[in-house]
Amino acid sequence: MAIAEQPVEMAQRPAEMKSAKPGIDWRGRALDRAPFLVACLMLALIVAIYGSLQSGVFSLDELNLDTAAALTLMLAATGQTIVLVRGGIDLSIGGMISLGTVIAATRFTDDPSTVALWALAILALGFLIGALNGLLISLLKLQPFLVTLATWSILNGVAMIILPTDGGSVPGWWVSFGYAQLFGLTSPVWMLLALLLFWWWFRATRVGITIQATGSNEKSAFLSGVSITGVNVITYGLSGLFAAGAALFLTTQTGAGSPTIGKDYILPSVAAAVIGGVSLFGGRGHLAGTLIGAFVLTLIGNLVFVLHVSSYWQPVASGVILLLSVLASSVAEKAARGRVQ
Amino acid sequence: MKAGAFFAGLAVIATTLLSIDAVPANAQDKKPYTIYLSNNFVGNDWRQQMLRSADIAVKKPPLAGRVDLKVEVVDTTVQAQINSLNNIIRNKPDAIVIDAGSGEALNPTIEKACKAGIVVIAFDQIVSAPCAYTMESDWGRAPRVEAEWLVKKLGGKGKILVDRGLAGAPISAQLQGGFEEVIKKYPGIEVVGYFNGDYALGPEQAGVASLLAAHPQVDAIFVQGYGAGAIKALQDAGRPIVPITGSPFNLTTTTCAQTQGAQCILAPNPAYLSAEALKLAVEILDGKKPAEKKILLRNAFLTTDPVPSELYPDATMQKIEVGKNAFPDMAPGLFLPVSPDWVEITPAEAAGSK
Repeated sequence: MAIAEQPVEMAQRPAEMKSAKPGIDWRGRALDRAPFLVACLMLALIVAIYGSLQSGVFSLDELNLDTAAALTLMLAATGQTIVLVRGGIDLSIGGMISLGTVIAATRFTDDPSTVALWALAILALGFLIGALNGLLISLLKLQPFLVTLATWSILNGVAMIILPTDGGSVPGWWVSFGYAQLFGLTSPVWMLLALLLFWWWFRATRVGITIQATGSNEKSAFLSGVSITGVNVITYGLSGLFAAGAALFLTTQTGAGSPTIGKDYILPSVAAAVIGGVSLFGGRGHLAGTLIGAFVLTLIGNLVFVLHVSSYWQPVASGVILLLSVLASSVAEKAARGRVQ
Repeated sequence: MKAGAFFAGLAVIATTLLSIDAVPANAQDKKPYTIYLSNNFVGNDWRQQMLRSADIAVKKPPLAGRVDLKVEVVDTTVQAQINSLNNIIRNKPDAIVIDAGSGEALNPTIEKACKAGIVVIAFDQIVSAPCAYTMESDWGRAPRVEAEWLVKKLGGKGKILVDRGLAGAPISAQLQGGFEEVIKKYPGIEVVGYFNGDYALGPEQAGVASLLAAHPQVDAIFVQGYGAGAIKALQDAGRPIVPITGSPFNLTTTTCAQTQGAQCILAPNPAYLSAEALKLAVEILDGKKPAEKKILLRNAFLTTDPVPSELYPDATMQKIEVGKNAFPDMAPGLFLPVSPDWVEITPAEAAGSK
């Protein structure tokens, strides 16, 4: 009885709102963007505190440094955001990042054409493995959590076989590409801008719209002729591709391969998206929010550093700031979701 | 006359006071060096004692007043340590001493620190960046001296169990390899079983216990971890206490000292490595650079039966004695010895109970 009543109530609510407020619904729009706005506010707050304690925070140098520190996470979180908007989750990015770094560290030579070839191969491998994730999720009708947990473990194992411990190397010019400058901005900042540009284009494409629609309501997407398998293949394929990209960028920061490093990005990639207002229930979220979330996560470390918290309290302090961030964005997200329903 | 003597005496006292004052005054004239300690893991007793040792060492002579120590503890991810190091580099300290989360992946960041004129010393978990000084215990020597000692205890003949350490850890393979290289030269010694001790008491005791059940004769046990777990397994099985190797945890030294018939040799890896690294940093900043960038520490082995090593004649052995390097009333996880010769860190300070 209660179940039957609920949808009626939900359907009525937006209609009531519209009739009550003709014209542009400013309050509704603000609520829609609340999660994103809260994320922006949080970042501004952290930057303000950080800037008041450390000199030179409001400079290009700072932007360059922090973006380099955050970009691996940002790339991984871009793929994760696409998957979350689809209503899934991708744990296998941990394995893919590890695998990508060990292939790069064992196969890259001083010869740029060899590097280019292997870099493309790593990206292609990322897409293929991701696509395979999507295919398995659809064909086996299994939870994305379980399928990608399994592929994470497999990829991790393969990475361990290729390189059992941290090691190998990438050429010096590849490392210096990680902080090459153009117009005062380093390559990570340009890649960050490229990510935003990509999202601005992607979310308006047919594929982007379909992914979002499927994330909001899989059944109605299916009924209107969307191939769920196709959506999954592309969604997880893109996630794998971005994880491979994260691996390549990571090698410019570490100069080496590591068969275990990828796991460090799985949960933070989800956390960055959640802080940025991406819904864990699918259908809602923007990459801009995720990227801000990634900045928040990275700057928490800087903030704890300048607060001169004594050593054992440092992890506690980061945890508390993280908890406050997630709490603020989840409250905002709930408000936004409540409005839609 | 009396007044003259009085004044002469006063003058002597005054000059003595001045000359006493003169040394610290000079040292204090120099601004203390700003040194960061970067650490990525606090999840075991060793690392916690390591951090305490650093804190205490800079408060006592000879380092007192010489070091402004800032400790940075990050979570275990490589990315977090890279970001933290970048923050440290920006503050342009005189030196960074680092217990590293990765031997390779921090290298570009460490090169950056060196280029900024910062002295970098990696200790314990070291890095391969050529510009950094490194300081670790001599892990090539440790298992070979232990093997030689066990062989002598057995008179060159007997059946032994071997701890493989932690699967996949490079240090485990290095220790096992060194040990087996020596015992291979003795045809009378036979390895009858392997176990993974995982550097933890539980797995060590369980691993030894199951092998004891399968082998009626076991004459010695090579343990990479505690050693106390192996002794407990022998006691539980009602077997004779055979010679063992291990690490100088207070639990193990106490067990070795108090168990009837126990024969132990424990390989050194002092938790005050951090203090040694800080002292080295100050020396380098004072202009006294060591001859080698890669420094291997060769501390004394702790043993119930000191036997001079023929493979490493300069290896020293210290006898395990209650009150000296075994403290039944102190934390079992305390790593011994607690203090280097050049500074006095008390057991209570090292254990954090004071």
